[in-house]
Amino acid sequence: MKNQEEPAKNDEVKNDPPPFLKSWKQLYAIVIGELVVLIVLFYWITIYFS
Amino acid sequence: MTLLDWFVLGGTLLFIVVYGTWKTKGSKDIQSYLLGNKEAQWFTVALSIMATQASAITFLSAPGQAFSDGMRFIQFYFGLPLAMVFLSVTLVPIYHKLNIYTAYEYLEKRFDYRIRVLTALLFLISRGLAAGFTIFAPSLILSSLLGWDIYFTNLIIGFLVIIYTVSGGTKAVSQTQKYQMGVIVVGMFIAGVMVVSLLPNQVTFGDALNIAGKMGRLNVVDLEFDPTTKYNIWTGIIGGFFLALSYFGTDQSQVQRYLSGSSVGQSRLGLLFNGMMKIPMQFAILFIGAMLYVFYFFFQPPVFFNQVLLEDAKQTGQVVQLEKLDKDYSKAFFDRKEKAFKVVAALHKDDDESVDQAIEDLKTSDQNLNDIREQTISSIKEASPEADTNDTNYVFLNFVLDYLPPGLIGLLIAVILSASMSSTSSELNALASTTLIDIYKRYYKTEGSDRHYLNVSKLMTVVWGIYAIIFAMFANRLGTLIEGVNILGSLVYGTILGVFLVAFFVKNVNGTMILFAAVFSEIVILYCWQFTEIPFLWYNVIGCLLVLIPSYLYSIAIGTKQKS
Repeated sequence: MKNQEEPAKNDEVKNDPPPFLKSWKQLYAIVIGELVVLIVLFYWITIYFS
Repeated sequence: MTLLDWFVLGGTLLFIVVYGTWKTKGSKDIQSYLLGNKEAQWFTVALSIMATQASAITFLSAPGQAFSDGMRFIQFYFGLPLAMVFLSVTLVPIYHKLNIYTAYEYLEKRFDYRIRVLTALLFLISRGLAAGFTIFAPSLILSSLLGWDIYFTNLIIGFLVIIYTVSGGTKAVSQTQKYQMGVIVVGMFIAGVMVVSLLPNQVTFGDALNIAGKMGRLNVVDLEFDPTTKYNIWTGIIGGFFLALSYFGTDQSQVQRYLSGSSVGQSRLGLLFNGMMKIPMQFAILFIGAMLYVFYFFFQPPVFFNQVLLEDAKQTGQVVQLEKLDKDYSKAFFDRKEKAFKVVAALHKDDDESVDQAIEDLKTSDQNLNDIREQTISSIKEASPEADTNDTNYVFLNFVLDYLPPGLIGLLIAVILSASMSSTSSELNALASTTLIDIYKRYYKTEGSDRHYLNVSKLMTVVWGIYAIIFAMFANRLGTLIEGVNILGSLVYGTILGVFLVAFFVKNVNGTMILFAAVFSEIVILYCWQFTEIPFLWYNVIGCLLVLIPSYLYSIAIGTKQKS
């Protein structure tokens, strides 16, 4: 029975680059950026129409 | 329903089932059956993830929630994109590297077999019950509104799903989900356009937005930090993040979807696409509910949307009271309609003062209407004390049946059934995989042929399918349906997530320690559920921290001991 008692390491996995941008970090930034934009937009909707 | 509706409904469902079965028939080995040979591209992964999460309950409950409570439910999803990024960075590469079939296999590699079994069992129990819910929820509503037999509806949904899931496994699930998502998007888009276009000519889209906003239905974001409020930006981001992390990271019905990606990149893209699309999609569904709220200012809504229950109550001694309330309701509605037109006139004049005055009048009139509705609900409750008087889930389908033209009704019913089938198929697929890989193959037959395991996994799919149908037959009410499923998940997700996070990030923790922490966490969560008023979204945070913190302290203690 394996009991490694160590967290997994993911640095051995070869990362293929994203098809759209130069790095995954850029793609993550876009996802988080979109969330921020949506929250700001929704907040504006809440205030403007109330 | 007209003949055209039946043709659209039957044609859509049959095409998806037959095409999905034919296109993916003949899985020859277990890798192909459970992971689709790991050939899926990101778009297929993304649609499969979205279709798995978006059950029929989403489309029935969400518009009703916006109708009665506004759009603040959207905040529940604010943590989801963050969770998608977190999973893409951490879990996805690890799962791919280990080349596993289920998420729980990893826990044995990291801790020991007990943790694998505990988390697999927690998944089987919670997801097994949820699978019954996913069939039961739309059946209940469709049978009530259309007069269909609920047992027959359960059987039809359940057996159609079993046919193609057993036949083609994961590939069939993903293939059918692509078309089911197509039907869902087209159907909901048309429904949204119809709600707005059916408004009276003098009421513009801008007027509808203004009325919805001023009447509290465009309350999308609430910035106030109040841990007792169910939906605000903080519970959404923090609680929603933990819930999404648990659901997408540790629930096999989702993990299996992105494990079928052809590479780490394809799985990541699938998750990230979901992270970008989920909130706009949910916003659109809730927005339909907000527009329905405005629509019913100009067209008389039923006093109670579950009309079967209302008619049943009229067969009792409450009939006189209910008929009187019906008449009062009609009068009150026409008064409110008049006030709503006054708001529109004031909006067109662009005079803030008269708009404010007209809105105040409309609110008074709306309150009057709601009082009559509340009295009606009390009468129904008196007529049948056991009845579920929450009619939120009936609002959207009432509109579909009363106001949409023939053909579109069939399409919208197909949307509901497609959503139910897409979630159920993923769940059956995942339940069968976990039972086979984490229980059967691990304990009962460790050395079997590929053919044997393939046959057993098909058998497991049938068994779980029948279990879900039986549960659906006996399912009872549990608050609003969408909340019921989320509450069920939240009771175990936090603990499972805590176990996974310890596995990934905390050193020196062994199986016994994590087992104690997990059992302790579950006891506390069940206590919170039964004896406290803590909103269920926080269970995910509490459960996770109750595993994470003791494990971390233990790790520090062991580390210090080893050094000394």
